[in-house]
Amino acid sequence: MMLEVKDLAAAYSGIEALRGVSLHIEQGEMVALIGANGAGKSTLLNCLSGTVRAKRGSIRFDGSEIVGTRPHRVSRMGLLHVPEGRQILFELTVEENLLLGELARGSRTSDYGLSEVFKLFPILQERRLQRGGTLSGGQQQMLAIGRALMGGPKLLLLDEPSLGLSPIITDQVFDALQALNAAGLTILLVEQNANRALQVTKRAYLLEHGELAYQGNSADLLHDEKVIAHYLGHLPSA
Amino acid sequence: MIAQQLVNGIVTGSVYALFALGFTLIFGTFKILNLAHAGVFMSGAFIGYFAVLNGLPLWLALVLAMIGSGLISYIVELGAFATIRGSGQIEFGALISSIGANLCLMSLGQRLSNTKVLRFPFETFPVEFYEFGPVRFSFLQVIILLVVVVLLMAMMFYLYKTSFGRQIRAVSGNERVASLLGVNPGLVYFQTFFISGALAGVAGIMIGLSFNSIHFYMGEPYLLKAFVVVVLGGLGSVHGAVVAGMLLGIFQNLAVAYLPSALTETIIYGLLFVVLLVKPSGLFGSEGVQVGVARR
Amino acid sequence: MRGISKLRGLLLAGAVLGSFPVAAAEYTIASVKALTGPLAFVGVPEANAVKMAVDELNASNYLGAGNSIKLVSNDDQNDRAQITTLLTRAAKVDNALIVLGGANSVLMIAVAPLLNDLQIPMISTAQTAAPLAASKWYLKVTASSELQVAPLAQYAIDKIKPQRLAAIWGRDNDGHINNMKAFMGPLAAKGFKPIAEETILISDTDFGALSTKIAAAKPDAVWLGANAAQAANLVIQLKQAGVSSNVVLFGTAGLGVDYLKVGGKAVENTYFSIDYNDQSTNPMNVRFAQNYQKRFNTPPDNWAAVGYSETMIAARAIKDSMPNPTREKVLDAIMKMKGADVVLGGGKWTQKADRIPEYGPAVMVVRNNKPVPAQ
Repeated sequence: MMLEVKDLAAAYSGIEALRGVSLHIEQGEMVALIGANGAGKSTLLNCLSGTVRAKRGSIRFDGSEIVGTRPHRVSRMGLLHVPEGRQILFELTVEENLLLGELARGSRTSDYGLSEVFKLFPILQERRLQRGGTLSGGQQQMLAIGRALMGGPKLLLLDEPSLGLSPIITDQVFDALQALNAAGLTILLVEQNANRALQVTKRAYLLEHGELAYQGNSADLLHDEKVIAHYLGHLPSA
Repeated sequence: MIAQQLVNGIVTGSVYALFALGFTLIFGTFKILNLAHAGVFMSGAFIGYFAVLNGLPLWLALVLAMIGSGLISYIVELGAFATIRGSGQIEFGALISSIGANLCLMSLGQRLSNTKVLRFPFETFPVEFYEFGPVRFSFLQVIILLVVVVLLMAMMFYLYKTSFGRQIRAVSGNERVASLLGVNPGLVYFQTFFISGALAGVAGIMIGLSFNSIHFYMGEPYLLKAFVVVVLGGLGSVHGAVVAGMLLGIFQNLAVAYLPSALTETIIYGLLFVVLLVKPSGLFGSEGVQVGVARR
Repeated sequence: MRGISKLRGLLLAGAVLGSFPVAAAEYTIASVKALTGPLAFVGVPEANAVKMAVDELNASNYLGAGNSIKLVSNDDQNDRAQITTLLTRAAKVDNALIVLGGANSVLMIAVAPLLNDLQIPMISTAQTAAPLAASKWYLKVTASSELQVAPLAQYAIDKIKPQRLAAIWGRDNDGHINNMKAFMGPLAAKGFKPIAEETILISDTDFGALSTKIAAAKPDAVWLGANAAQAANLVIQLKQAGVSSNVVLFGTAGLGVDYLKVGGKAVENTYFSIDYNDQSTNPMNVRFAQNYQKRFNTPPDNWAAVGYSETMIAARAIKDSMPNPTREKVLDAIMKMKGADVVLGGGKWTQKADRIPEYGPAVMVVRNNKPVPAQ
């Protein structure tokens, strides 16, 4: 098992954001985590990557307990988190952003070096010497994903990769994610755009007020009436 | 005389640049105005002085001063900044605690020196002069320029061409993201403060050698100059600090040479004011960057 | 609860003190000097010497058997508010008979009116005579340096006759400005006009540009309006920039051990008038120098000599106003003082009607890194 979370609870700015969440991800899976704004999705990712300290519960990643492990150590173990809003380092060039990503790899081997990332996102090669801050939103998202790939991830956490992107660019990003998963990469995808997230994954979790409200096949969730009403927006809301 | 004053100015300016570089490195990376940089600079001069006094050769004294002031700088970080980093008020809080750290270092220097002005023994460095037509410069000036240029280039290489440099710049941009990518912020803090302190230590020895005055108060005037250099060069800009340091040195020397010396300060700060009016981000600051505490 | 126990403690202490015979009395001297900040180089040696003097006086039962001097020493931080607090405390809490004050004349002028309110005498070495006008309770231990410079200017006119005189002085210190005027004025009146006039800040250390400029003017004499170490540093840089090694240097009082130590060979040929002659063979001076070296592991400088002398004058004034000295009586005693033993100048300190004392400063010259009386 790649990731096993048990009874995880965490508070953020004094508010209890997670109240005992358990989930698991198998090697090679791509799993969606959906939920409304403030449901605790980002807090969950932050707990996994170590930037928020869990109050209770356990996180086992690739066989080791990682609660309390500092973020740079977690990433060096191969758990890479692409945070919400891309968070490109504006002052560094595209290439420097990517090379920085290499740090997490340490002595592990990775399928992704500069040339593989450039193959996946050719635009990054073109913009290689530009500063990160000059890229468009979609290019920044590609850079953020590429940067994480450079670290040789065993598990990739993605927080709202489609945020602020046009539908065409969103398609490109999701295509890339599917290709990565097909090549064997384990991915946890957090999305508000639940429709898209459920379409590209096999399994999904639904988070509500810091608790798991539903888990199961993505396809089932896509057709669940309550989910449709609240998260997919197919039906007019009350 | 103008050629001579230009030479003087370049040497003075290179030391300003060396001092300001460590100061701007901390500011650019962590948004901390580290006023204790003056105390660290003074510590470097003191360490070098006592090393020479105890019979060590000058080059070894220089190395000791770099290591010593680098460590002192890191101790300042641990004591004055790391302790308040969690509070979320780091910019203002750090300004105050750096004043405190500076006072501690100065008091220490005051005790060690009995408030006296110290100087390296006369034979520490050979006093030799070379004359090229109207220009006269000393062996010491040549060495100072050489050391500064080498250190500046090493620093540029380190910051812009190595993985460590990338990590420092990454933490400067966004510490959280950097740590998500495997950068150990603690190590970056150590390196940055160590380098900043080591540069200040070298500057301290250079000043001690050329101006014969190692004194617990010696850092204060340089701190003021460093503010000018850093603002003129663009807050946090490393290139800017180097160029602005040189410009300030040259300008100051020419002002003394051709204008009444009582006006030097007025002219320097007047010039700074004009530059800020025309280009508020400094000579090399990027226009898009919000200067000051608002920057996140 | 706490208040009550404190009160009880005070009562107890009072009872214990009251049980001693009346004969043993403590007379308090307060020292309020800059022990930190830019003037600490003055305040610290002064305060050291004050402490040493008080210990010596008490050991020799100077005020008579059983009587002793109590010293309360504080740091004025070169700050007006701090001095105000400390003076008030000295007068109202410590019941001091006299205060040994700081060297910053601007601050001394500022706090002089407070002395009138508190009615407490203060003696110090402010560089100008200005504080005297502000309060009758303020007294000077040293002559104004302007007055010390006068014999130096006369010497320059009579013996050196500089043809190309350059003047450099600290523009942010009124003492340096007044000294420069006191020196340059009489010379200019005799036709020795300066060829260059430049100013510096007391915190400056880099005189590269200035030295090059002065060297280009080829002076045969230079007036140095700076304190000891800074003046020495200035001379070294002047000579490195090409000023002739035969140049004659003039400086202010206060040039002393530091000047020679920092300046080395470069400061030969410096003429200065001096408060404290560390080569003096006067037995009191010799003893002072030995004891100071032994206790503080460094030879006394001009400031230490000033602090020591202040204490001697204060103690003598207290002794002269026995029995039952009051601040009024102590002030009076200093106003009438003649031939008090000090380590300044010729060793005898006499107050004058204009309240600027006399103790015989001399013109000296540096030869082989030693000050010797100028011929």
